Amino acid sequence: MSILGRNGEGERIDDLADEPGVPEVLAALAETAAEAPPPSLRDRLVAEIGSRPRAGVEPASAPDLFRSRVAALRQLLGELAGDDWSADVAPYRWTTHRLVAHLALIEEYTARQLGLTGAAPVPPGDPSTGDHLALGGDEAEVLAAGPPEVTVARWWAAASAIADHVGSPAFDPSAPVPLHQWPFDAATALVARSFELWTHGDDIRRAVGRPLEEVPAPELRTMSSTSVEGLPLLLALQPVAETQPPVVLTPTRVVLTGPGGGTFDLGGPGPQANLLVADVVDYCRVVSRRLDPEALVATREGDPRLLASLLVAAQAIAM
Amino acid sequence: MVERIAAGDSSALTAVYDQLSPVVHGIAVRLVGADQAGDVCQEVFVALWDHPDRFDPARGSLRAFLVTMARRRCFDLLRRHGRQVAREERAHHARPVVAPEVGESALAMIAGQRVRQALDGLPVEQRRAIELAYFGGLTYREVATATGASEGTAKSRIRLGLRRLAEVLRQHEEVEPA
Repeated sequence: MSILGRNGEGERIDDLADEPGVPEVLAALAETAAEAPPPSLRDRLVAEIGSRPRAGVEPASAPDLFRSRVAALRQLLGELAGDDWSADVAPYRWTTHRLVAHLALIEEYTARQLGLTGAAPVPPGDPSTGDHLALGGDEAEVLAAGPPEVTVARWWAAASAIADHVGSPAFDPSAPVPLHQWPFDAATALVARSFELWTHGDDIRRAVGRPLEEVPAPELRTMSSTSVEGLPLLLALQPVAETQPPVVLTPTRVVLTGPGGGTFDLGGPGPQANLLVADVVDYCRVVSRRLDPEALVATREGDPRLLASLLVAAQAIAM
Repeated sequence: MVERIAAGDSSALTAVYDQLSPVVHGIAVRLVGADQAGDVCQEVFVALWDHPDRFDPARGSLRAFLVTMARRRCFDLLRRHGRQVAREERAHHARPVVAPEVGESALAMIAGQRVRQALDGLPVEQRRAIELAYFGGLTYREVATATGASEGTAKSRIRLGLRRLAEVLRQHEEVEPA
């Protein structure tokens, strides 16, 4: 520190703030001079921050998100070898190879729903596609009995065809693309697929002893915001036991912390009577059923039944 | 709370404001006067809203961070406005006061009370030097002039006094961990 200190006017007591314990002493000294500001200042502050756009993470577009998830999974699969393919992957009783066979068939189904295969999309409610895990089960078993590279090539053919299509001018993000029983638009369908690719990528990483992937914040932002913004609809679709009163969505604030998180107000205008604060990655793991809602470390204020129901509803579209 | 602020939760900012604005505003009143203290206080909390990532919990408490920011802004203001609040006036007010119990956490109140007691227990030259430097916002050189000591002596008194105050706070934390 120069003799003139940080501000060029001579050294001050504040210039000692880098010394251990000194910042807390200075803060404690400030306590002795505490003086509440006029109440109008709080109103001014609230108005000021309300007028400042939040400089947050820009969400990735649904096509960019999907392409990134496909690339990440492809890289992971390319790094697997030998016993990795026979590793048991929780939470299913599948090997890595069988899981990739499942993904290949799901991606082929998605390509059909997007109109890429020449075959007509499967009508919503068709029982053949109602069960995500069972879809194409027999064919997946056959694939999983063969060489892994054939299975990977088949998955890649479908996934890369979708990735190319969603990056082309022909792609309409608002076009209806139902997946299983869900009447998604194309953009939401891609987000749902991206959730699954990320989740299964991490399933494989756990199975073969690799560290979990750190998803870029713009992609987390897209997945988390799509999920939270869909909660009112998903909550309304949740079955309620006849003996229970319906769960009514009252104004609720959901705060997802960490890069890619955000603040979401649900249930209409008015003071938020309910608050849920959780880490954005943990929330996404609840959505993808890799974390039990009750195990989610979160601040919960307000109606506990409503908050619990929202988290259960968030899992409804997990694939 | 800062994570919530970073996520764009305005209610977290107002909660922090409700708890910590008296200490931020109070120190600004001491340094730049009541007329400008409100602006400083608002600037500090808007800055927290805009740049929550600048707070590093490993380097100290949020309270300490905000107080440091408030003091820097006060000194900037004094420099910009040619020190409208005269040094003599600030030196005159350079005494701790009994803090009103508004919006402060119990722990912070206790820390304030302890540091006030510890301040009263310091040798009178050390206490006066700290009061002038902290509450009056004087530089070491100005403290030296005000107390008739050399600048080196003034600096040494401040350092020794702060060290003693830090020790007292640390001892209390060890006896009564938060």
